[in-house]
Formats: sequence, C-alpha cells, structure tokens
Amino acid sequence: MSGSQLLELLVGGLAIGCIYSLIALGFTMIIRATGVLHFAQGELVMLGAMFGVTAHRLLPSLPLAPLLLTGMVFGGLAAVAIELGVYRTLRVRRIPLMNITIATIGMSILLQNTGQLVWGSEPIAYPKLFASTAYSLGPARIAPQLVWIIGMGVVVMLLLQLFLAFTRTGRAMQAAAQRPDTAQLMGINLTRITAYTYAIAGALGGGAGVLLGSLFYASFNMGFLPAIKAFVAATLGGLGSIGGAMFGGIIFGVIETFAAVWISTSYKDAVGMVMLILILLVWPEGLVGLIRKRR
Amino acid sequence: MSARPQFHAGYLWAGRIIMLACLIAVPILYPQKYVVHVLGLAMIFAIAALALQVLLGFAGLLSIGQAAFLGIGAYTSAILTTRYKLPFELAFLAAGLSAGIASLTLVPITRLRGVYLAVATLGFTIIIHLVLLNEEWLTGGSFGILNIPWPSLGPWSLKGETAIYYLCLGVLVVTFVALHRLMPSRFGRALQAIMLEEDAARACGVDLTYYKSQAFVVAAIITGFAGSLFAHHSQYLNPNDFTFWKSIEIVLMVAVGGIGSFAGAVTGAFVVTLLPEFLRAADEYRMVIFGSMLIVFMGLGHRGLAGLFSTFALRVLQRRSLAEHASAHGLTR
Amino acid sequence: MTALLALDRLTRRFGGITAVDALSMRLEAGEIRGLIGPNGAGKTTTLDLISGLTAPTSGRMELLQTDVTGEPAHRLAGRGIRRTFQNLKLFTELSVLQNVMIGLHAAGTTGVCDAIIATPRQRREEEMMVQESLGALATVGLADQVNRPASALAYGHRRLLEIARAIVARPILLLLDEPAAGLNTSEAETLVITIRRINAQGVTALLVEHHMDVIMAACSRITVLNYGQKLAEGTPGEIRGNDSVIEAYLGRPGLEERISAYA
Repeated sequence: MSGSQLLELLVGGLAIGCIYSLIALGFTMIIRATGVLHFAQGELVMLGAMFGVTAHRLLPSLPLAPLLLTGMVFGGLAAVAIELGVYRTLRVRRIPLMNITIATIGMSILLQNTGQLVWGSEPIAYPKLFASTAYSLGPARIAPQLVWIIGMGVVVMLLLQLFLAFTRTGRAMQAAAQRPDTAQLMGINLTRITAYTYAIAGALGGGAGVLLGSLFYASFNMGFLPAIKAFVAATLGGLGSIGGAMFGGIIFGVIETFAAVWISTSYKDAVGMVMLILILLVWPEGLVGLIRKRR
Repeated sequence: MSARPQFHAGYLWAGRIIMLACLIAVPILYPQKYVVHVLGLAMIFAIAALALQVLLGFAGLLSIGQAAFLGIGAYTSAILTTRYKLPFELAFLAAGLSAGIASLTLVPITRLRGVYLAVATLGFTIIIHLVLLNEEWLTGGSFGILNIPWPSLGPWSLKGETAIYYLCLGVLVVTFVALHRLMPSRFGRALQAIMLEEDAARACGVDLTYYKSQAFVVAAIITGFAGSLFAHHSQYLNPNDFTFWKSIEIVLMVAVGGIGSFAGAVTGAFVVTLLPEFLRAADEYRMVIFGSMLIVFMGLGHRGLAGLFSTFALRVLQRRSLAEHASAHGLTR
Repeated sequence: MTALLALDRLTRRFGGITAVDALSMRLEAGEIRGLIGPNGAGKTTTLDLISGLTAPTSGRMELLQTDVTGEPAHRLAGRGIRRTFQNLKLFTELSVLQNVMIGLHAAGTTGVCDAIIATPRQRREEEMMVQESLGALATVGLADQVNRPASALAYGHRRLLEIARAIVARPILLLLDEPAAGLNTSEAETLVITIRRINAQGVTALLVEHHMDVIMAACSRITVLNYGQKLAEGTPGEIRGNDSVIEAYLGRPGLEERISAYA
C-alpha cells in the first residue's frame, strides 16, 4: 500500500473515529453518572441527524456548523426529555439496574420506530455541504468532508473538556460522577446534574448524528450499530474515563477502517465485535487502565 | 424484593391443563392454514423464550444473543436435510448439538458482569449473523436455503401445517416439563444462588464459571431445537431471520411475559408473535407498542404479564377464601 | 499436635494498602478461636483469604497438611471450609429450606440430565439433602420456619439461617464473621450456646467479633490483629490483661486522666 493511500485511509479512520468518540463520550458520561448502559444512545444520534436534515429542508442555505448545532440542541433536548420523563421515574421507584438497562433497550426500540413513523423508512440523503474537489496533501487526495468532520469533532470535544474543567456545572458533574454521596452533601443537586449529563450525552450524540449523516445518510435505524461500536470504543479506551472514550473512539475508527481494507469488507462489523469480546476478556480496564497501572 | 406469589399446586396444574387443552383444540376449531401457521410460529418462539428464561430468570444472565443459536440450529437442520438428505430426527438432534457446541465459545465471557456480558452476547449474535450472511458456500448467503422438507418421525412424514403444529406443541410441552423438573433440582438451585448472591454461592461450593457455562449450553441446545423447528416450519431460511433484532425480540418476550416465570415466557412469546396479527392495521406501531411495553413492564418490577396475572388471581382467590371463611363463621350480613 | 489450619506469612495487598501483613497462625482441631482487632485490622480480609474469596498476594495456607494456597472459594468449600458473612448473604428470594440445601451443593453430584429424567439417584440425593438440611435447621433452632421465604425472617433468625447453611455440610472449619452484630443480649447468649453445640459436634470455629462478651464466653483462645499484623495471641485472660491490646483498642494508657484534665 502506498503512502498516499495510507494517509487517505488514516484520515478516513480519524473521521469516523471522531464520530465514534462523540457517541462514546455520551455512553461514558451516562455510565459514570448513573451506572446505566444507555442502549438508546444510538437513537439520540439518529434524532440529531434527522433534525439536522429537517433544518436543512426548512432553510436550505444553512452550512454545516448551524446544522451541527441543530442536531446537538435537539439531541440534548430529546435526551433530557427521556431522562426526566422516563428514567427518573424508574430510578425513583428503585428499579434494579438490570431492569433499567432493559428499559433502555425498550426506549431504543420505541425511538427507532417512532423515527420510522415520522421520517419514513427510506434513507434520507444529506445535502452537499462541502466542496467536491479534494484537498491534495502531496500525492494523497483528501475529501474536505473528512477534514471538516475531524475539525468539528475535535472542536466539540475540546469544548466539552473546557466545560468539565472550568465551569461550575462541569466540575459538579465530575464530582457527582466520582462520589455521588459526598457531592450531595456539598449541596450538588444530583437530579439536576443527571439531567445535565443526559443533555450533554444527547448533544454529543446528536452532533455525531449530523456528522454521520453528512458522511453517509440519515435513516431511522442508522444509530444502533454505530452506538454498539462506540460502546466497544469506550470500553477499549476504558469505560468510565472521558479521555478513554475520546482516544478509544479515534483508535477504534482507525482500526476498523484499516481492517475493512486488509481483512475483509463484509466482516467489517465483526471486527468491532471481536475486539469487544477480546477487550472485555483480556483488558477490562481498557487502555487507560493499562496506562494507570504502568504509573 | 418480595417473594413470588405462591399458589396452591392444584391451581397451577389446572391453569396449565386448560392452556394445553386450548392449544390442542385450536387446529380443530380453527383449521385455517394461516391461523395454525402463526400459532406454530408462536410456539417455536415460546421454546426459545423458555431457554432464555433459564438464563435470565434463573441464572440472572442477560443474553442478547439467543438468535445466534436459533440460526445455528435452523441452518444445521436445513443443510443436513436438504444437502445431505439426512432424516429430520437426526437433523433435529444435530441442530441442538451444534448450537450447544457453539455456545461453548461463550465460556470465557461468563465471568463478565451484567451489562458487559449482555453486550458480549450481542456481539456474538452480530458475528454469527455475518457468518450466515457471508459464507455462501455453506449457507447460501443472502439467497438463503429453499425447499426445506417437512419433518418426519420415524415412518410418519409430518406433512402439512397441522402436523407440524402438533410437533411444535409436543416439543414445547416436553421442554416446559423438563425445565420445571430442572429448576427445583441441585442444578437449578445453583443457578438461582448465583443470581442472588454470587459470593455466598461460591462459599457453598458452587463453581460459578462451570454453572454459568452450563446454563448457556442448556439454553443454546433448547434454542437450537427451536431453530430446527423454525427451519422446517418456514421451509425457507434467510440470514435476516437471525439478526440481533431477533435476539432483542426474544428478550422482549421474556421481559413482557415475566422474568422468572416459565409460563410467563410462553405467554410473552405468544403476545409478541401474535400481537401484530391483531394489530394488522397498526402494523407500523407494533414496535412502538413493544418498546413502550418493555419500558412499562420493567418499570413495574419485572414480573411482567405473568406477575400481573398472578397478583390479580391471588386477590380474587383471597377474596373468595375470605368470603368462605367469613360465611363459615357466620360473619356475613 | 498437628494443626487443622496453618497460615504461613499470609499477605494480601490491595494496590497500596496491605490489608493482611505476613500473618502466621495455627488453628488446632476442635478449638473455638476468636479473631479480634480494631476496625480495619484485616479481620474480614483474613476470613476472605481462608475461605478463598480472595487470593493471597504471598504466603502459604495449609489445611490438614495439604497446601491449599490460592485455591478458589468453591474448592475450599468442598474441602470443608465454610463461612458466614458480616452483612448476611442469604438467598432472600428462596425459602429457608432451599437456602440450607444450597449449602449441600458440594456434597451432591446430580446434574442437568439426572434432574430432567428424574433418575432414582436424583430422588435419593434430594431426599438426603432435605433430611440433612432439616437437621441443620434443628441445630440452630429454626425447624419451625422451614418453608417460609428467607426474606420473611426476623434479623436474629436470618443470622441463624446463615449459620445453618454453613454447617449443613458438616464442615471441618467454620468461619463466623461478626455473627452477633445487631443481636440483643439474649439472642447473643443463644448464639454462643449454638456455637458451642456446633463445636461439640466436631467443627473447629474461627470467630470474628466485636462483641467482647461473646468472644470471652465462646473462645478458648484469641488472636488479636492490628493493621493487618498479629498483635497478640493467647487465652481470654491473657488477652484481657495485654497492654498492647488495650492500647490498640483504647489508645495510650492514661487517656482518661488526660481527657479529664480538659473537663
């Protein structure tokens, strides 16, 4: 394989990796805050993509950035609605964790099929938001789309890091995730923090949806499989770790892209699943855990 | 968590006999091919749901991968009967065996906790589906397998919807009885101990990995048998019958029917398989309804339909026995 | 005299914390040994090590001269080491009888096929398990609660149920983790009598307790732990008068005078 091909594949892997990272961050934040594996995370991705494309239909002149924002806002709103309407009710009734997890499977089914009712079964193409001419980096030709996706993804992740580190709410979320009891004693309102957590997870998912849609297309069932892969990525990086989710997503995207070329395209999805099982068996702490142990 | 409502054994047996009688009577009362076909399908999934109940309701293991074993069993049976012209009885047994052997690959993941185990089984079902889809030389790929023959039992060929209906019913009854014998035994107690308190189970001498693996193998074998029935019932196999969505549907059946109740698993399978038939007009809403049902039932604590029915029945029986008690002591007005 | 259980510099580290530090101890067959120490001294971890719930970081453990270091809990249970838990780990959704029958798991051999076909071997084994379980329940005084769900039992009876589950397989070594926690005086007395009765049937016991009356009444010898290390070992009388033990529990001598100076 030539150097330029390698570079093109790498950029492709990074782009899809950024998308996985955003979704993985959503998983990680919810698991840190509530211990629940949110099976409906993929549907938040789908909702973001759908609202993004709907926004484009209403205002065809909108470029990528406002569409991304639309997806994030509606993803976040949807997530908060689900959390306040459904999940909180379940938690208040002290339903065991396994049941809540199964309930999120139900939510996933519900949202997917509601999406199908609202937007139909046919995939919806995203508009052409990017220039068609590829950038040239030496002999390699890079689609501007990929560069934009990587750029937007990195910006969103940076904003998230800044939010968590420097704002009161962000720090409160960190505290609540690590020591919920102590956080409550310090006056942090756990219910509100959980709502914020879902809002952010939804926004990240929604943003990923717009990016994913612009890369392929939007459809009612677009989110489930990427969400599972994002979960693999989060586990690869180290479940429960924000940095782990980010790096896990990017690394997973690159591995998957290269595996599709070097191993087999038809078994591309299997790569992720095999990785998942291997990681869970051998490295349950993920990469972050390995790094921590070395220290 | 409160213990399950306890019924006098007599009531339980009466209920089961009535159910069985209904199921035996249906093809006689409603001989339309379509009705018999759909009910046969419901019973096949009831067998798969019973298998999942062993894992979920008794060992506490959430497996979102049962469709993989359904598919392995179905394809084994189909390939052996179509390509190698083996008799159905052998193919049926081989289906269960191959699913059981395949489940041994899951032994390493049995040490994973809760959600991680669930996701690993989901991964397994995705991998198996891809194999079924891509290995055309073996499975016919997306073209599937056609003209799967009717089953046979010794000299009798079970041709026709009605015959296969009663075959499925027979397998369902045998499975139901077998599992009811299995759960109160040493094996069943070990599973429940693992579900309730793992450390205490270890301290009592229960080898966790061994018993969790056995639970998977038992569930896989039963599901493999269901797969074989599925193949000969539909007479056409396609990999898309065995996606992870099918695995999720089986979880749905058990969750709706009631986690921990075998009768619930059967009920849930019937509800999930038959509801679309009743909601013909609202077919698009089917999954929306199921998704909502899943959320609602999980929110009500996992007793599901079986639990609702038991609670209701208990209240009726208690009221009646209270009334009898009162009248016996001259306390009625 | 050959020891029933010999611990040789048994150590358990968790990351940076050494919960049990080079503990060496010998238990003689037939004794009731007390294991005491301030909170965090490593008592429960020691029980976890002996019962196999945790594997040691280093050191050796011998049961009847056989090296059993690092064996998993279910194997040690099969060898005759049984235990109760500090925070009770009953199978709450099962009946009292079923709880105790699970204690006999290692004594059984029937499996899936036996159960489904209902072989005579299966019937005999079930019968045996029921009889033995009823016997264990009678020993602890719960014979009248046999079919009730474990969750319906009063707290004191739950403690007794856990003991019944631990003794039904006629263990050679019984580890009791704070069995008197939360019991009132008369319940604690019943507990001591029950432990003595079990001991008289040939079961060696290692008793972790904070309830000093129970320790002093039940135990023939006491081992004291502090910061994961053995601080002292001796008869109840010797331990009562041991200065370093008093200091570990109560702080430096003269504390009372120094406090009253501030009054």
